[in-house]
This record gives sequence, structure tokens and C-alpha cells, in this order.
Amino acid sequence: MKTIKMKDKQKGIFSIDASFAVIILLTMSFLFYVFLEAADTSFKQLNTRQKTASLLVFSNEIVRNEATVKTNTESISNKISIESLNNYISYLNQLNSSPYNFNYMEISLCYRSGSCTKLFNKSYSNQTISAERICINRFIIIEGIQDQEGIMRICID
Amino acid sequence: MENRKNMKGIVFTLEAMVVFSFFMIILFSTLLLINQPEPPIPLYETVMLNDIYQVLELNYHTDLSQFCITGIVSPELKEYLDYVERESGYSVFFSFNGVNYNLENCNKIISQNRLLVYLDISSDASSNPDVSYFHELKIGLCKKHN
Repeated sequence: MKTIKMKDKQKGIFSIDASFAVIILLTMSFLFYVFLEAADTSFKQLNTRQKTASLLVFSNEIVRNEATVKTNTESISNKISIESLNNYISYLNQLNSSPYNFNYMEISLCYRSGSCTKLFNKSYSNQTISAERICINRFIIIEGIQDQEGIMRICID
Repeated sequence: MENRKNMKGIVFTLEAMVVFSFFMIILFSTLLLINQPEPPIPLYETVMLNDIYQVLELNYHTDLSQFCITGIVSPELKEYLDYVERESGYSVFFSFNGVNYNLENCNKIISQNRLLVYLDISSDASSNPDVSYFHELKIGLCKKHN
């Protein structure tokens, strides 16, 4: 008779087992949330790295080849000819899609004297441009009567 | 029989512990795997340093050679390096045979050894002059001075 009473008392509203189960369930849910957060951050990081790598390759194309001063035998890296740059920009203007699947592209030229010119900007999608626009500054020499140092700023989204 | 009944419940069962441990192990190993380590070489800074050195080679080759020979940085070169610091947020340092420029209080980010070609005839006391063309210049980036 006594043992039955004890058992009834142990049952209660919330048993020890059930409370353990709830604690474990809550811990598991929290850990799963942490895992999802980490996965999300990791994928975002990966996406940014891929974008940065594409931007580097794209800017290299311009600064080291397409827009450079060329002789019969070589193209002088980082020395920009305005004529070649304009030719490349008109080629970019003709394209309906961006070379590296960018949503947006912008090329500006800043002289050491301080003057800056935006030479090209084009959006390739109807989406609004996100805040995660990535830019790179390439130190260059701009060919002219007197070669001037400057920066080519290339931004993508 | 009664003993078995007593073992049931009350404290978390062994099976549940095993399942929970598996869950934890899988979760933490996946977390470790998806956490991407920082790249060993800073990509953006490397490209920037290459660009800066290319501009220096094209426009300031004589000034660089002069630095290696005399240890003095010309005002024109210094002006350009100041411009780089203003625009990029990084300052440039040089080092050649123990002669340094801008290396004091430098919070170094990246450095490279670059080949600088110039004719150097160092005359010693003996009659044979030492002629060298290829020189190793150390160049790098530091975080901007405050």
C-alpha cells in the first residue's frame, strides 16, 4: 500500500525524465540554430570570396592587358592608354550580359591631382543593387603628354 | 525484475545518451568543417603591392636604385609613397642590406623580395672593382600610422 503511494508521488505533474528531455531538446534546438548561423555565415563568406576573386581577375584583364599601352612586342602592365580603355569600355557597352555574371559594374579613373571621372557603369539585372558592392583600387600610370599616376577604381555587385 | 524497473526512467537512459552524443559529435564536426580558415596570403594586399611595385618600376626606377645605393629616398618618391598611403590606408616600406625606409613602428601585413636591376660598381681598396646588376629589395605594406 505504501509503495503504491510513493509511486503516485513520484509521477507528479512533471517527471525528472520529462524535464531532462525538455532541457536536452532545448539544447539541441539551440545548437542546431548555432549550426545554421555558422553555415549561413560560411556560405556568405564563400560568396564574397568568389566575387572578390572574379573582381581581381576582371580588374587584371583591364589593368594588365586590355587597357594598357601596347608596343609591337609587349603590353606594359599598369600603364593605361586612354584610347585602349575607351575601346574596351565601348566593347563592354555592347555586351548584354556582364563578363563574370556581375549584377552591376562600375569603372572610374582618379588622377593623382584629385580629379575623378566615372567612365562606365551598367546594371545587368533588374534587382536593386545590394549594399555588398565590392570595389578594388588599382594603382596605375595614365599615359599622356606627361604620364600621371592615379587609381583605377572598379566596383562590382 | 524490480531492479530493471527501477533503472528505467528517473535519469536519462543510456540509449538517449548515445543518440545525443552522436548528434553532438556530428554537429560539432560539421561546424568545424564549414568554418572557413582565413587565406594564408592576403589576396587584395598582394595585388595592391604588385601594382605599387610596378608603378615604382615604371616611374621611379632611378629613385629606387638611388635608395639602394645611398639609402636616401628622393622627395618625388616620398611624395608618391605618401599618396599611396593616403589613398590605400597602407604605408609602404623598403629594406635593402640593412637600410630601411618606413620600417620603424611598422605593423607589417605583407612583404616580398623583388629583383631590382641596376649597375652597381662598388670599388674597394683592391684594384678589382665589384660589379653587380641584380639586387634583392624587400618591399612591403604596413597598416597606416596613426
